[in-house]
Amino acid sequence: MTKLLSANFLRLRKSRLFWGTLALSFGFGAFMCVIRFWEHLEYGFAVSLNSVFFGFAMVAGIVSAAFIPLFFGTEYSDGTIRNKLTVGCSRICVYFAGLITSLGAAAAFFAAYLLACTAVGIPLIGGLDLPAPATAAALTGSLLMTAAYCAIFTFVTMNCSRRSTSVVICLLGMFLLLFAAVYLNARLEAPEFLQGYEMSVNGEIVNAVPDPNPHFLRGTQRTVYQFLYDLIPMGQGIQYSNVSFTDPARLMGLAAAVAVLFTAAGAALFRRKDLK
Amino acid sequence: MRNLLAAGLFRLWRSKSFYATLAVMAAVGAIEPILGYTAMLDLAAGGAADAFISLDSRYLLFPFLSGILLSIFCALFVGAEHSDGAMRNKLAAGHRRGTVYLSNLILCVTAGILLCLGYIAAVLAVGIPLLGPLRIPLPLILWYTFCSVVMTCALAAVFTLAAMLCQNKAVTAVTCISLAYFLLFLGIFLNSRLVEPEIQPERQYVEDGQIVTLPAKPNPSYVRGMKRAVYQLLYDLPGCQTVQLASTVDTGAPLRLPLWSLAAAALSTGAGILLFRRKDLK
Repeated sequence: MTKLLSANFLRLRKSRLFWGTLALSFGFGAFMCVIRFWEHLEYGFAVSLNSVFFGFAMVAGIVSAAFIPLFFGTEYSDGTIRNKLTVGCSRICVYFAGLITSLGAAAAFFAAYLLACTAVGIPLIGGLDLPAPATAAALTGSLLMTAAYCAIFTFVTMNCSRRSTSVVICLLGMFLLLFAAVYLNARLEAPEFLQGYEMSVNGEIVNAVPDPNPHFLRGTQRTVYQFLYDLIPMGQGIQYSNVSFTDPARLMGLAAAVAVLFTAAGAALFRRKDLK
Repeated sequence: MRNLLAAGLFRLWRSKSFYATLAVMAAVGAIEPILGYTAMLDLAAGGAADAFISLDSRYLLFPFLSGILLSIFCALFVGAEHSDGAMRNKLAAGHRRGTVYLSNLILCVTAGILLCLGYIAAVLAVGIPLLGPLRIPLPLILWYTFCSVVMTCALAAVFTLAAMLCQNKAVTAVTCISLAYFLLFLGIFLNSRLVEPEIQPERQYVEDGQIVTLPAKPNPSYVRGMKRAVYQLLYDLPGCQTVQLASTVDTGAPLRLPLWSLAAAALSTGAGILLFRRKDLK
């Protein structure tokens, strides 16, 4: 396991894809800070680092969905996986070494984004003005959410022999999660009542009674939608990036559950996979 | 050329990626009216006064999907020619590089048109019995369909360019899929910026029983000058224009949209052929 990990991290350090993605993550963080600063100058909007600092939670999935199948898919196309098994490494060790390496890479991308926000954002738009517990919860939760993404994409990559097919599945799945999260968010944010009309009759103001919104979710349906929104990593990403979460412990628990489930299922499938 | 096209069409009819993308288009086309119908029943059960959902909004969705699915198809279909060595074989058999490029472009365009038709056939077959006929007048629907199909063809030209110039199928897939989504999201962003009104209208509200009037004032978020021209130019590009096509369906999309699509297709094809002729295919 230690040898597999050191080999993987050595390959990571020499990978142009890794350094390119790291540079993109840093550049994205700097770009977001500059955009906020520019909006402040042009439109006079009040801006703070809060609106940018946790933004990587929204794109962590897209970055991982492209990076993990491209980086680990090479192990199939180059026959490295077979070589690892031939020299006596167990399949479980190969799977977990891949997962840990992808977690390390994803954490590095996250760190590069945060570094850019700190280096570029603080001088331009000031520091964070959030309480320390909320900041810690958002950061820890975002990392756990990234771990869930890594578990899902490692599951796909290690069980799909074709690199291009894994790329398509991961990216397409990622964008489906995005659309699902946006849809769930829109349904959950629907107001309970629609504003009634205000009518003036003979100079008097008459307030109409607010109408109940037929699109408002109630009862079990609302519970199910909220559960799904909290469960899918992209739903969590929206909540972390807006710092709009109410129960971080629940989100972290669900992210950990997703990571454990996908890892267990992926490792079990990989043990039985015909590697040809 | 004829031989290349015949071989390509033969491969297209047996391509799993083509049938998979076509099946997704047809499935979404069939599911959308069913979702609309169930939502209509829910609204009626909830006592909504106007519990009606038109087929129009479901029909208009296909250009949003066709670009994304076509990006997958082009990357896998053309990428397989590189990875399997078929590209080199074609050149070794004496075909010119320009001809090879154009034959692949025609195949991708054909697939793009078939994907659109797959959605249209499914949405009409399932939607008309459930939600009734389209409400938008036929000429406007035909114009919308034409503009959307031309835009899909332009996207096919752009994806063909990426797939022909990149020999790594997985990298091509990442590039094409990311580009398709980027253009879609850019279109949504540009739409939200360009529809900002220049003047915020006069507003009235009630405070302590008195009507307070806020006079009309210039909107600080309104995009002006050169920036507006650049935004408008990007908004007209294939991929980005999807939102514009859907939002102008009632009046008919401006003629410049299909013209921009054709220009983008011609430019990317010209650049693609030039670069492909100089490419080292190893």
